[in-house]
Amino acid sequence: MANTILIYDDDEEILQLCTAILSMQGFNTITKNKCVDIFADVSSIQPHLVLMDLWIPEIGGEQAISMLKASPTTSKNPPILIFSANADIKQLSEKLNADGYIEKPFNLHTLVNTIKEKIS
Amino acid sequence: MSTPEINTSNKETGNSNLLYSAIIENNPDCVKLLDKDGRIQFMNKNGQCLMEIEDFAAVKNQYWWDLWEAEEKEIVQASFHNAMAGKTGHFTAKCATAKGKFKWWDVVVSPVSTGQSGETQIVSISRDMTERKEQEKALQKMASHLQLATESANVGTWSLDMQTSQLEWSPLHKRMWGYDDKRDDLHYEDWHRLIHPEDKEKAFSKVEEAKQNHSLYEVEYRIERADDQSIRWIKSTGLYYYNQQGEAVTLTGVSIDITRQKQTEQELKSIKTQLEITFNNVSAAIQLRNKQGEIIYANEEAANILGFESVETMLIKKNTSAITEDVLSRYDMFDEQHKPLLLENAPYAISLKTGKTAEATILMVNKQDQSRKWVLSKSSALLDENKEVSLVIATNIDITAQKTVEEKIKESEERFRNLADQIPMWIWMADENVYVTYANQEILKYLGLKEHAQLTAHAWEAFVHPADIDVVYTSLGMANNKPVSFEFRVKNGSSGQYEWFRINAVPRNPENPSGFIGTAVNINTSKLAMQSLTESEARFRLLADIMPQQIWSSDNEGKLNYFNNAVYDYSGLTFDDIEKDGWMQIVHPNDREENVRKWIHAISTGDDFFMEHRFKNHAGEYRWQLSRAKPYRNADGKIVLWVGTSTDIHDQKIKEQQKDEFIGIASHEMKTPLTSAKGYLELLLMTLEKDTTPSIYAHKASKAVERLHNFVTELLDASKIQNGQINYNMSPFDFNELVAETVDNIQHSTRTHTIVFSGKVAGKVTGDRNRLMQVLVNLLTNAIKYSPEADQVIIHISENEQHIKVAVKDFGIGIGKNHLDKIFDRYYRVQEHAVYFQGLGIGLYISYNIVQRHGGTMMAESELGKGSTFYFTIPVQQEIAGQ
Repeated sequence: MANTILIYDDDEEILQLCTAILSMQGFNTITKNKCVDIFADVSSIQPHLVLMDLWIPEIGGEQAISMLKASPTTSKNPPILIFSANADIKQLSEKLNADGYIEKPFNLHTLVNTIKEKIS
Repeated sequence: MSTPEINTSNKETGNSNLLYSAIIENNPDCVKLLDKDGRIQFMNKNGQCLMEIEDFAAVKNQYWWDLWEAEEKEIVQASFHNAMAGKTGHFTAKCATAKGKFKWWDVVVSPVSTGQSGETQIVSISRDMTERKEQEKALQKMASHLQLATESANVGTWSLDMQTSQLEWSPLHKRMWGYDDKRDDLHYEDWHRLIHPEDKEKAFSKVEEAKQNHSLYEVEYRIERADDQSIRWIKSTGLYYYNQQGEAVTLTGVSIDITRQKQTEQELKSIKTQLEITFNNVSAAIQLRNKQGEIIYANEEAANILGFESVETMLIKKNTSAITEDVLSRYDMFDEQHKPLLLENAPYAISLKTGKTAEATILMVNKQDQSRKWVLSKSSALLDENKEVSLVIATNIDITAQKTVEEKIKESEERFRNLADQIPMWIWMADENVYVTYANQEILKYLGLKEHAQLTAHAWEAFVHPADIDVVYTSLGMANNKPVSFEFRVKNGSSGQYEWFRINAVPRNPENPSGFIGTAVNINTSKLAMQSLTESEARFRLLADIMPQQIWSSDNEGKLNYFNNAVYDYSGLTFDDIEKDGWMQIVHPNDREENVRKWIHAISTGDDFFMEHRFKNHAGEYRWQLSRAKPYRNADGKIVLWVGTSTDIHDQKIKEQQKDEFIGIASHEMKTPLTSAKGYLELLLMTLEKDTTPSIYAHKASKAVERLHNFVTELLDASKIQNGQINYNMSPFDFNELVAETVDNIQHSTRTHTIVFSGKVAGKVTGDRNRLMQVLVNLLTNAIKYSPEADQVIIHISENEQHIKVAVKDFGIGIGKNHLDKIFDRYYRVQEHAVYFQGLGIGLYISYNIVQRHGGTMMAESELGKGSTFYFTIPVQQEIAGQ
């Protein structure tokens, strides 16, 4: 069964690009442009990995990650990768206790390889 | 200050007291002061000496009469009470000295009133009469003998029988010779026997002589008296009696004892000899002249001084004019004014004429050898009972030596004046009234005066600036007698302008104010320079005060000591406020620590101070300031002052912050579409068949997007550096590997250049690998970019004990010297290159900052048209601030 990647980003183009790339690589993708219902999403979708943009309206990515990592049911799984253009993404990922990061703009290999590495 | 009247009266009282006590102290007699009870209060020194009193305290307050012999007390007390009753009394009495020696005193007792109370005190003046008394006693004794002698006719008679040699003596004669006057057996032999051996021959020869010559026998001889062997002088006179045959029958005569007379003669002789010895031994020449003006006595010195060989050779010329003639033949005589001496002006001539004392200094110039002799001549006259001159005593003292010294002093004074006149400096003397007593030529020249006489007394006031006259008086007047230095203005005689002088003066007599001797130098130039300096300082202060920038200064220890008005206006504080609570009170709390650190660093190293920090203004609002301070060094290179400015950059700073914020947001926002574009282009490239036209287009688009991405990243980095927001991930890594990997990557992206990599370093470096790679990429891509005509870029790494060094060399267009120090500035671009090369000019700025954050340095060497070499270093021992 294909692995499901849950992607949060407020930019529709990025969501479509990621879907296109990851589908080609045999991933099942679900995209969201808001993370207000992050807990509901994660429990209903049961993704194998979450890609989380930081600059998202309403509840920001940083807060969403903090919430997931703070909850016992989601602190370990699914793995969460920060997905941002922020130059300090590495520091942020450490700070938020995320499982990794993908810096925008990314190249295709980095995206695919990082995700594959985290799921296996 | 005391008034002149008080001065005078004090002086008089002082003088009279002085005189009074001098008289008492110099009185040769014993002067005593007794209180109203007769107790001794005072005794002069001479009196204590006469009374052989060693400690006056032992006598003080004793009753006067207790000093006297018991039998004298009554007369002493009586005279005291008499004196208390107001009568002056006089008595003679015996009193022993403290050492028990009896002395006779002639005493005058008189009342005086002393003190302000007018209380009566008694003065007793006792003259030591002992010697006189003794003489009197001796005289009395002699008188009684004489009286006795006179009573017995005092003349012994005698008669000698020439035939029998039988002597017939009167009883007195016998007694005179010491024989019992009852004796009648005296023979010629008894006369002969007693005559003094030395006088025997004389006595006999006279007897014979008189006999032969039929003359009076008259002889004086000594005898040794028969009874007590005492020597007596006897004068015998006798006459022969001749018989009709002409034979001498008897010699009859009288004898008188002339011992006393002889003794007196002897004494007189000895006194005369003594006098002569004394006179001849005093250095004064003494002449006695009679009322005719003839010299009747002169001592050896008197002869010497007038150039005679001896007194005799002088006195041979009995009359005065002959002596004068003789003297004038050898000497030219002058008076003190060097005018020929008129004889009637000679002191002895004046005394002779007037009966008064006279004195003159006479210069005698030897006609032969021109040697000079100065003689001080004094004379006084002795008057007889008719008040007519009977004798003139003249003394001449050779004062040549003294006079020579005086002349030498005069000469040396003259020399001093000559010397002082040569010195190109003011030299002057003034007395205690600030009268100028001497001013050298230099002063006269400056004042435009011809001679010193024009500067007498207070004439100097006319030349001194009216405002400065007081300082002259206070500095040099009686009130001050210490070395003094002051400045004053004096009018230049030729220009009429006042010029500044500095006087340095020392008191002529440190004990007693007697004026000053001093110098003065013209300090006009330096004084005016100082004034203009003060003025220029004032001008600069004014300038500083109208500057909108805050200006301040500190001493070499960093203590702030000056602020311009802008500081006060901005902070609302006063100098005292800042002095009291310190400058830090207005610095933003977050900036204080860094501020202190940087300021201490600057003060201790002498490096320029440079900082951006926030100051609180009078409204309580913090505003950004750019502060700079530079040290000011003296001629020795020692820092004496720090001058700083603080410029309000708040608006600028805020704008920059807004801009950086904007850049941050914009670049982030740009990255999102870039991400899409880049992703889709990659997807497209994957789907397109390679080397087809669409694939080549997509590839070009991908490259463009890549460049856009780099640009956005750089822009963001630059704004982050500005805000100190770049984060570094420091960790140890292999530097060789980093360089090799970077070179490899760049080599892949260029087809025009070959990157030549050489060198190797040992061990690992701790740093942000990605950031350092960014530096290497920046330098290598720049090297390629700015050497379009070349085909090689050289990168070399090396290390020493302190650091690793990377050098990137290109053979490109190079950078002009005028740009070389600015290339690391943000957004700086060499304008000449702008046409050919794209870019924001922030790459080197970012690299420079990254290297700096690693504790390293970056520099460049370049020559236009030949290429550039960029170096950077990374310390081997990593100590990175702000990790």
